[in-house]
Amino acid sequence: MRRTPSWFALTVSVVLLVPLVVVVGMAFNPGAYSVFPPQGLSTRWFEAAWSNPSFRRALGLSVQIAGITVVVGLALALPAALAVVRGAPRVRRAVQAMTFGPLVVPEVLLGLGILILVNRVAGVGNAGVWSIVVGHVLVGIPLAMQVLIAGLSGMSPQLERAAWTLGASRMQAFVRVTLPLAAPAIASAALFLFIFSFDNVSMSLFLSRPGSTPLPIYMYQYIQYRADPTVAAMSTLLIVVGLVAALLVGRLGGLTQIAGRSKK
Amino acid sequence: MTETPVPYLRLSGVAKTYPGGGGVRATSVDLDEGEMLVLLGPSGCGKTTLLNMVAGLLEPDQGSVLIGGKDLTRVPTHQRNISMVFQTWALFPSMTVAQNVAFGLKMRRVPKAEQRVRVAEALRVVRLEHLADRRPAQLSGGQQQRVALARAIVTRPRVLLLDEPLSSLDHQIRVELRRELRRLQRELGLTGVYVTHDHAEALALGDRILVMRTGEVVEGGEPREVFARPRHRYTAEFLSVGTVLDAEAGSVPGSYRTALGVEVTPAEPAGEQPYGAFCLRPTSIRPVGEWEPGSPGRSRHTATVVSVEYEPAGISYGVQIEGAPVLYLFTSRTDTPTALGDRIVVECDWTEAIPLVAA
Repeated sequence: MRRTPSWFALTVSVVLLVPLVVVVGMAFNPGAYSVFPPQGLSTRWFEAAWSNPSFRRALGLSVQIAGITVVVGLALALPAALAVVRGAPRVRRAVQAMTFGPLVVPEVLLGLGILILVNRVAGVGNAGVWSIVVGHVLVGIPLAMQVLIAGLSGMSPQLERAAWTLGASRMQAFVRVTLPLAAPAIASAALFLFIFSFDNVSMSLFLSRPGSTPLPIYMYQYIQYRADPTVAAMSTLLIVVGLVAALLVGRLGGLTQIAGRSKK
Repeated sequence: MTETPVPYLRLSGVAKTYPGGGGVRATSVDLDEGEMLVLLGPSGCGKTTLLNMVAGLLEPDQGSVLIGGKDLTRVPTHQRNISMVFQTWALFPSMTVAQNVAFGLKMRRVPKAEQRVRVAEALRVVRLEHLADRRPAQLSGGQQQRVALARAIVTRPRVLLLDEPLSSLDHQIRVELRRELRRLQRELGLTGVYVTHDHAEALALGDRILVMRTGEVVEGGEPREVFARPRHRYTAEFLSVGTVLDAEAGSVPGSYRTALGVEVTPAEPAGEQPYGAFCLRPTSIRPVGEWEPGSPGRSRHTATVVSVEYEPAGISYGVQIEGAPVLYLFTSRTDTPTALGDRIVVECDWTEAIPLVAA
């Protein structure tokens, strides 16, 4: 049963979407300047972006960093989420205190802090891919945990106990009973981490170095020298990736989880 | 030379204390193979704690758990070869009914062909073969419970443990499943431990019952015996055996003065502890006409009717004698019902009164 959305919801959605529509529109403009609405429909800027080796390198780096962030972030967030959901109250408080810290600190400060640390430890100018990953993982973990905790807390611990009584060891019970039920939450957390890392600007700004820039930073630098719609084309790519991820998360039931309510 | 057989299940001095309170004091009980032990008591009495220690989900602070002659106290749950049916059924939502039932067999590496046969058999026993491919979410409560039962018996466990499995079901289904469970347990010769707060279930299912209160066993024995002759005030009250009246020492040694002012000398003298109460069954109290002759051992009282409850087999009246607690009597005569507020004469048969230890 569909409910007609309220006027308020519609208005807010439009307001949020207008900048995206403008950017996508500009990307199709045949002329060499960014105007909206576009004066025609041309895909030359998409071709231009694609044939730019720096762009491809930046895109590849963004995907690489996002991929590593997902793997490392999940590997750390999943046990932490389990500790919060299943653990004794003291454990839960400790884990929450440790992992929610990065959410409170501004990303810019975190990025700066990591930069200073890396400079001291590894020498000036050595920040790069791994520093960026560290930054993304630090802020990504608590975000991923939100999704995971919402997904896991809907699950009764009786199920694992039932599995034990039927002859499953703790590991078997976890793999055969808990993981399949947590799969949607894990997938949502993974997608969420990916998008977070892929779109991240604040920390990547501090931690990238020439030749090692993720896509958003590359675009930021590009705009400082040129005004053509190539950047709009690159932005369209980012928008599409984000949309696809959001759709997937929605289908997995993850959107309500991110909003803080578990799927029931 | 005949050896006394080792009981199949033996708990010796098993105890558990929680830092926040609760738990269970040192408890010992023996159970023979094929018998069903029922742990009966209100929430928090420790019955589930005891059950969990038999299952291995909790480790006892002291004492030992022996099953089939083997000390399993430190053995983890999944190696004990027991099965458990939970109050919330705990069926695996991502698997079908057949897969749920097969889970235990899969964990024990039973070959697939044999799995199929045994799963089909278990489902046939609980009469759910036609639902083998459904998911738990598509089943009713009673059906889910039957699946949980099939899942628990298919592995031929040494001991079947049941934690209030029928509490979340409607009355009608509960009675039906209770009977099926009893039949199944008997047929398969399963040894079981059943936890409940419902005395009707305890009496219907148990070969032995333990009545529990705040962490300890108050009384135990065969259900029939415990119901016919409870020893403890708590037991009589919990099993709703009848109206319990306080009593104190009477004028003569061995006699007791009850709350109704009547002095009673029970046939069975008290043991170490003096009696502190008497229980009158609902059938030991009856309304009488004043013209009826009395008899020794019976007392008459005038009372006001304060409650009338209709039951399938008759009517239950609550009557208030001045200065005394309400007495509950039961009569199968429904032809001349007495109304609320009527003053009637009741006769109490003290020869049938059950002396009880209090505290």
